[in-house]
Parts: sequence; structure tokens; C-alpha cells
Amino acid sequence: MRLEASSFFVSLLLIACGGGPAGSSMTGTDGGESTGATAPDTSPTTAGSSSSADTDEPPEDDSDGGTDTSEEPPPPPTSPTANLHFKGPQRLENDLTAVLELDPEQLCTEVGGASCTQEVHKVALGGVAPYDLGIYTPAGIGATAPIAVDRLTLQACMRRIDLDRESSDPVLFAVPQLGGGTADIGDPSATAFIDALYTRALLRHPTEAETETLLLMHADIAVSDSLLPGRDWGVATCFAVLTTTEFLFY
Amino acid sequence: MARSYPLIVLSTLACSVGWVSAAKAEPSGPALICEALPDAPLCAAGLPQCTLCHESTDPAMPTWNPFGDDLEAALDGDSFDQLEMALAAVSDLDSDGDGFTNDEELEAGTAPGDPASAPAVAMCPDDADLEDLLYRICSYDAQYAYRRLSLDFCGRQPSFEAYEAFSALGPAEQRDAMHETLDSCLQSEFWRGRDGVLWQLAYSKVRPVHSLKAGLDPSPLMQLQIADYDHDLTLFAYTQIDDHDARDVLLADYFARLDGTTYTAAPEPYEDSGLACEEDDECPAGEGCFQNTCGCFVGCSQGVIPERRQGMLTTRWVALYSTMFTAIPRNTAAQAYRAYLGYDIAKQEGLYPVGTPADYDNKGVDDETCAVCHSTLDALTYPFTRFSGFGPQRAQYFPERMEHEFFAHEGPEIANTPEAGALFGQPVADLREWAQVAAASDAFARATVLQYWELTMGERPTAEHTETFATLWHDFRDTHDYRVQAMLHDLIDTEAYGAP
Repeated sequence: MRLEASSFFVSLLLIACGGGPAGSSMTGTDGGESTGATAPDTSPTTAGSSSSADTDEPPEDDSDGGTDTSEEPPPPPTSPTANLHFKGPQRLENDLTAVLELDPEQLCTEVGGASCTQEVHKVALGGVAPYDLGIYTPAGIGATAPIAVDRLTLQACMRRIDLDRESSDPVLFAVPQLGGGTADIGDPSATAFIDALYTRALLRHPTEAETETLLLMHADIAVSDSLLPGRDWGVATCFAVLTTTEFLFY
Repeated sequence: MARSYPLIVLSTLACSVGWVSAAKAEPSGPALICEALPDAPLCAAGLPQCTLCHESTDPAMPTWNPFGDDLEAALDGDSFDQLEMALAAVSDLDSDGDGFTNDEELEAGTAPGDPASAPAVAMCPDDADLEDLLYRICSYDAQYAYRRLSLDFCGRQPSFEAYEAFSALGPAEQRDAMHETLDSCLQSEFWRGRDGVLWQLAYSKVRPVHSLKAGLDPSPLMQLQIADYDHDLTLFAYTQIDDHDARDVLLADYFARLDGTTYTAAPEPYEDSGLACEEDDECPAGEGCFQNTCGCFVGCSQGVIPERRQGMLTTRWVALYSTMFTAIPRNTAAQAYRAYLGYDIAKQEGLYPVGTPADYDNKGVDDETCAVCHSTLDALTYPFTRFSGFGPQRAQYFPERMEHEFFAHEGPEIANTPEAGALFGQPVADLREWAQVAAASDAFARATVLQYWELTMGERPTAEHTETFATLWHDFRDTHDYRVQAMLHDLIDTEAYGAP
């Protein structure tokens, strides 16, 4: 069930959240814990503007072979250092459990109990394994790191949303459900959910454009083959925020 | 006194090429460069590598990179009389074709012979472009630094509420809050606990292997339980915290014990301290080194008498894992040189030749090719030769070790191996003097600070931050008396750390 959900979300998010609040974060890593990234989405986000969210707008008709870029806002300025650090397994675990109010044991496990962050994916996430594998320093971020991050984050989001749906005192997700399993995204609790994710994970409130982008995603999920589009929207929103460059790097 | 960069080039090439041509026991080019210009970008984090000019330094067939080739062409054969003119001739060339002249590259600390290495061209945007950014790029941003230090040293970002409260403070209060946060983080499990950041820094120095571990959580194979490296990891962390002297990684004759996040020092191995030898004593399980009179296994971390202990250089783990059965334990010395002084001889770093080495163990080290490195390495190693690995005097100081343990295997010359050696070209009588010279060296201060710089910055000092880095390690030595915690307070105040 969860594997199916993971596959669904990965597919969906590639379409719906490609630009996301700050874009997909790890597909361009260069093999080191410190990325030295210079891509525009690694620069400080422009507060109050909508530079990143604007990229999520449906594309204009480009049947003439290209889009008109004359109205696009200029990219935000880029730091000359642009020296970001991936959080790695321990910091990622700490922040995920804090943001989602989960215990470390509630994060993902493999083969029936091996911790994703402390064992199975530890090295892939930039950790070390000195005693048994002789990996004394981080081996850098390899091709499997984004997969491990997706696995870890998606499972954590599903766990939080499912716990909240079953709880009378939800931590994050308290959006009323409508018919067909959809969520009432017009309810203030929907924007409150997004705001809580942003403040907990990114230490700031979302811009209007960012909130709008995430709310719009519900419509895409509602017309998909999801059986619980409201729940899946909650998971996808959580996943989108917690896989931003802004959250995963510092 | 700093010289101009063209003169650095002069020193570099004169020494480097000359050293290779003469093949052995000549002054090390990289070392002379950094003696002349200790704070140059090339020397900020150690000595420049031979690859500045060379592709190969094999004395029989040295080869040069494009920069070295250009210089070679400008020289008159192997004569260096005209080197200054030759350097002037190549200074405006772009030897590696990356768009920057050789002088520009040397000034920026990049490699003029490597097209993949070039000065950064990024520029700070105009001030007008900085409005409304979350972070103030190109200058110190306290909010950015606050989040960063929380992640670096506490392992978690601050809560939104804490972040908001911090943001509402004035500049002076923000600075105070940052330093309070740092102090708090440095007490955390994440930083100093078992397998925390400090232990992780120690892994590459200690190189633990669980299948050989004794003590707690030992190897499942009793016969392979050779030593307990927990002592080494704990001692390293102990020297890096609170008001402890970081030089004790090389000088300590005591032991450290960790309980949660609390470290304590004791004069004897901690596994012995709870083992008063009385009839009803129960021996702790899994301690597999040697037995005391009660039958308890003790001594898993140290077998050397206090007078001969030198911090992490003389532990049982080092003796049995690095020295093992070796008469002249070059591996042990090279690892110490690499781990605590920042010089990797395998990369031809830190070469201070002291003459053609004698071939005491019949390994051919006096061969012209081998002598390039062994002139430094063997002199570096002799003070380690009286510390046994495996053998009758296992993991102990044994003055007659060479005669008694190795005569039959290595030949008669092995008995002539001196205990006296040299470090940085300076004679040392024994390992105690070796450690004292090492602990007092620029290399030690620089290497100690460098590991924290790399940990927090994610890279070695760039040319832009060369001066900041030099100030940090100088102050670590001269102002903070080798206290890491004080140095870290300086580090988080730097623009290198706090400017996004």
C-alpha cells in the first residue's frame, strides 16, 4: 500500500510540484556534502515576491515554439559563495522529527526494522560507517541520495498525515474532508496547514503565491486515480515543503 | 615578510624542479614556498602539492603540467640561474588555457597548470538587488548564522519561535545569543556524545575496526580482540571540549572516560579503575586484553608506562593496528603526520628531507626514487621504533626492541636503527621530543583549526578567506592557548561563516 502510494506521489510531484516552493532539491548534487551549488534555486528566496512560485504557473501557450520571457521576473540574486551544506542523516532525522513531531522510530525503516537514517541509507545520505565498513569520512552525496531523501521524507509525511487523520487533536493536518475523499481546501485549516509546515520547516511564512500553488495541487490530485485525494494532498504538500532546497540544505 | 606572487612562483619552481632534478635529499620546494610566504593562499591550509608544476615527480622521469612545461621551456636546461627571468616570462601566460594568467591563478590560490582549477568570478550583486531577500548575501547575516550554527553544532535547526525571538533582538543581543547557543550546543549529545561530531572527526585519525575491538562491544571473535579504540576516540574528544588543551592529543599521559556527555580524565585506563583486585570481584564481560591477578582482562587501551605515553600516538590500538609486526613503523608515523599535522606523505606533502636515509631494514629506501619521500619519512619514524606492536613486549615501550624483536628477520643493520629522528627537519631525540615539537608547530595549530573549518564551511579555505583562516589558527595558538571551544567562538563571528 505504501509503496504504491510512494510511486504515486513521486509521479505526481514530478508533474505538480516540479517548481514547488523552492524546487526539487537534490537532483543536481555534485558529489560532496557541501554542494557549492550555484543554481538559482539555492539562492535566498525573495520574500514577498513570487519568483519561485511563479515557475509553477501553467505554461503559456508556446505553440509558436517558445514562450515569451519578456514578462518573467528576473531571477533572484545569487550569492557568490553559494556554499550550501546538505543536512545529512542525523540533522535530517532531527529536523524531520521536530517538524512533524514524530519519534525517530516512526521514521522509515527497511526490511522490517532497520532505520533508514541510522543504518540502511546512512552512507547514501552523507553519513559515515566507521566500525564495520571503514567509511571514516562522508563519501559525498551520490546518485542514491535523492532517492533516500524522497523515501525518508515521503514516509514521514505519510505517517504524520495518517496520525493526524486518526487523531482528535491533530498536530498539523486538520483539514475537513469532503465527499469523494477530497479535502476542503477553502477551509482556513488548509492554509493553516501550509503555514505550519513553512514555519516549522523553513522558519518563515509562505508567500501568497506559494500557498496558492500548493492549494492548486489539490485539483490535480482530485482528478487523479487517488482514492483519498484529500489525504494525498496533505502528504504531497508536506513532501513538497520538506524536500525543498531550503529545508534540506543550509 | 610577504613577497609578491611572482616571487612565490620563483620559490616554488626553483625548489620543486630543483628537488626533482637532484632527486634526493634536496630542500622541499613546497616547504620553502611556505616559509617565504606562510599566509599565501597556496600555504593557508598546508603546503602546496608538487602538482603545482608536476604531473610526476619520479626522479627518473619527471613530467610537468602545462605550467611546469612553460617554465621548463623558459629555463636554460636544468639551470635555475635564469629562473626569475623565466618566471617573469610565464607570468602573463595562461598555461592551462582556462582564461586566467598564471599570476592571476597564483594570487587566487588556484592551479595554473590545471584547466579545471580557475579563480571564481562570482560577484556580489548591487545593493539594490539585495532588498527583500531572506538573507543578506555578501555580508554577515546574524539570522542566517544563527540557523547555521544551530545545525552545525546542535544538529537541528531552531524552532520557528526561537528563530523569531532571535530575529527581534538587536545586533548586540543577537551576538550574545549566538554565543550562548554555541556554548549550549557544544555540550550537546550531537556534538560531544558517543559517535557525535567530535568522534566523527576522530574516525579518520583512529581508523577503528570493529572486528578487532576489545573492551565493550567487542569483536565476536575473542582471538581478534586486540585493543579498545574507544579510549582513543574518547581521548580525542576530551581534548577538544571545555577548557581542555588540544595539544594533549599528542602529549596526554592520562585517559578519558565518557559517561553520557560528561568526560572525565583519569591517570590510568578506565577499565582498570573499577577493578580493584579482590577475591570476590566480578570481571566485566567482554574485556579481552590480558589478565590481572584476579583473572580480569584489563589493559585494553594502553600498555605503555606513563613516562612514555604520548597521547594518541602510543595507545594500544595504534601499536597493534598501525605498527603491528613492523620494525620501522612508517605507517604509524605517516598516519600521525597526516592525522595531527595535516601532511600526507603519500601525496608528497610535508617533505623536509634530512639527507639520504640509511636502509636499516633492507627495504631499499636509499634508492634515488624512494629517497625523495623516505628522507623525510624515515627520520620521522625512528622515534616510533621503540614502541612495540605485536611481539613479546606487546604495545609497550621497549628500548631494546630493535635488537630483540627484529634482528633475526630484518638483518644485522636493524639493530643500528636510531631512536632519534627528525620532524620538520628538526632533530628529535625520541617520541616525547617528537610530540613536543609537533604540538608546538604551526602545522599542528593549522591542522587542528582546518578540521573545524572544513567541517563547518564544507571546503578548505578559499583565497578569499585565506587571511581569516590564518587569523583563526594564529589566535588559536597565541590567544586561546589551543582551546578549541574558544576558537569556535571566533569562527562563528567570521564573515566566512556568517555571510550567505
